[in-house]
Amino acid sequence: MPLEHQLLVERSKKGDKIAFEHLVQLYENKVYTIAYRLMGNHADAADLAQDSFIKIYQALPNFRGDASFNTWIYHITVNVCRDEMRKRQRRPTVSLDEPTNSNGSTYEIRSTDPGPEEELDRNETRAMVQQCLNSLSDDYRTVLVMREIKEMSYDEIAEILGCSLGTVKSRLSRARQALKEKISKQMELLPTYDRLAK
Amino acid sequence: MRCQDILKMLSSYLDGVLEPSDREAVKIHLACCPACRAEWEELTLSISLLQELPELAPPAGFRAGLMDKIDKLPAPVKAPQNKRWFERVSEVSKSKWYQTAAVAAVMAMTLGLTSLLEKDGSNQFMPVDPRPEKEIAQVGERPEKNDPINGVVNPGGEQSTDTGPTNTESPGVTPGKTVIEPVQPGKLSEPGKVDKDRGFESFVPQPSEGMVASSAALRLIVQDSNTALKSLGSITQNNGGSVYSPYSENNGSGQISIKVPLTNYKSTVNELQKLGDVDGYLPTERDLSSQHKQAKDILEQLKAKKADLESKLAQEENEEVEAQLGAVNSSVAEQVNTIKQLEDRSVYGIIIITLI
Repeated sequence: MPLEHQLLVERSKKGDKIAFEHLVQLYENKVYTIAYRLMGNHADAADLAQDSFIKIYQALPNFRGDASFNTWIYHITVNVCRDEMRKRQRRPTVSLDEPTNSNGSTYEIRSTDPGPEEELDRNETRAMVQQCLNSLSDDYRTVLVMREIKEMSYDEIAEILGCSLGTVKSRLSRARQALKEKISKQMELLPTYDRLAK
Repeated sequence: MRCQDILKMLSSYLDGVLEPSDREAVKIHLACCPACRAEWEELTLSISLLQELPELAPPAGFRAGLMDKIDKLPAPVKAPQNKRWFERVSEVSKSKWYQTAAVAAVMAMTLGLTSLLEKDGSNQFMPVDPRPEKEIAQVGERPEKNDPINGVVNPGGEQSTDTGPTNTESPGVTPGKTVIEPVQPGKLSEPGKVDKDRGFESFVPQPSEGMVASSAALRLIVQDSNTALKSLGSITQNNGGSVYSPYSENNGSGQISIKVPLTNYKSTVNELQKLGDVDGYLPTERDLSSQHKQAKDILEQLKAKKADLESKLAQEENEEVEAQLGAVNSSVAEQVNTIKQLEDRSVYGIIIITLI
């Protein structure tokens, strides 16, 4: 971690809120991206990214620097999102952002005046990949986001998920296979997808 | 090696974590088996597509809203001081039987809460009728944007920044008023009020039924954002509201959130939509009743424990019991705060206004 970041962490630990705001500025894209990739919509991503930062702020005095600050932040964010996913498994909720059509698939939300994140997701392939990711089980999506998007090691994933390396390996393998099948199918149906996306 | 065995190893092969002998076997097999090679290519393509997904920036007002919440939090402290009430209770109690009793009480409460949740099935972010109010429909509406059936709901890129109390695990984390307001003498039994002199003893929670957190996202096309903001300020003030999240601009549009008493919520929305052309309107309501009910149940459990400890203390002076009572007292105070926040959230509506 750069020295500047270390200093910000140290000052934030002492309750310096300005320093913490700088830290938020430095890491907000990373945290928000994890939340978005895991939850699949911007409203949840914003809420959970804020919840993650609140947890980070409260837990900062306990950050001893054993793990890298990045990993520590990802750990908290992934856990906040997993908690929410677990809650929803018990109590299914209705997403305002990704309304489900009669076939059970979801439409890509198109805004006439998209924000920067929507602009990026306008790329149809990216939107399709995110849609495939959304359609996977929570466990598969989580392991894929940690490995492929945040480039975490098997050890880090095992620690966050609280499981063995063997489980990480086999879950990742099945998750990749499932994603591959979804993407391949979407590629075959691209004209249909294209129509839906628009 | 059979194709089936090779396919199972592709993920580990990709990560380079196979034994050298297996790695070599996969490599040779892929070189001579077109079917497995096609699988391998599809797999690597899928993964590279996933890896290429871009990093995203949070929406405008994200940091300001977050820091608003952080400002309401106490300075962070190390874990021992930051433990939850039941951990503190079990820590101060040294005797084995008491620890067991504390754990049993927590478990009983948790089971009770879970059954409540399942019974109610509510406490979730749920859409209300997405059609705008009649008055709103008459002014510059673009109806296709509010049609969830056709999948073009446009929350306007604004995320629901309504992060009202949703998690009883984090009391004090939520926005809105976080302190117990003083009340006038003679109103001790008024629901949701606290008598400062008597601490939280006199706190009477409100009925949970029908308690909701109301929010709305409103997108307005305006001629001049400065003029619109001035008018917006007057409307907010006239309706007894306040700024919830300050104005911030991003990519040519600006966003501000206001908080108004529920009694003036609809009239405020109606007045606001006159500031420009309504580009989108999305009201939402979140049911708080089951959450409120749970919080009240926990409070009752805590009060019972407190009464038990007080009666023990009346019989005999005991430092250990005193310490337990102190911990339970502070948990009662925390719980009252949580309930108060929920009640507070249900009497205000949050309106997120985007000016284009």
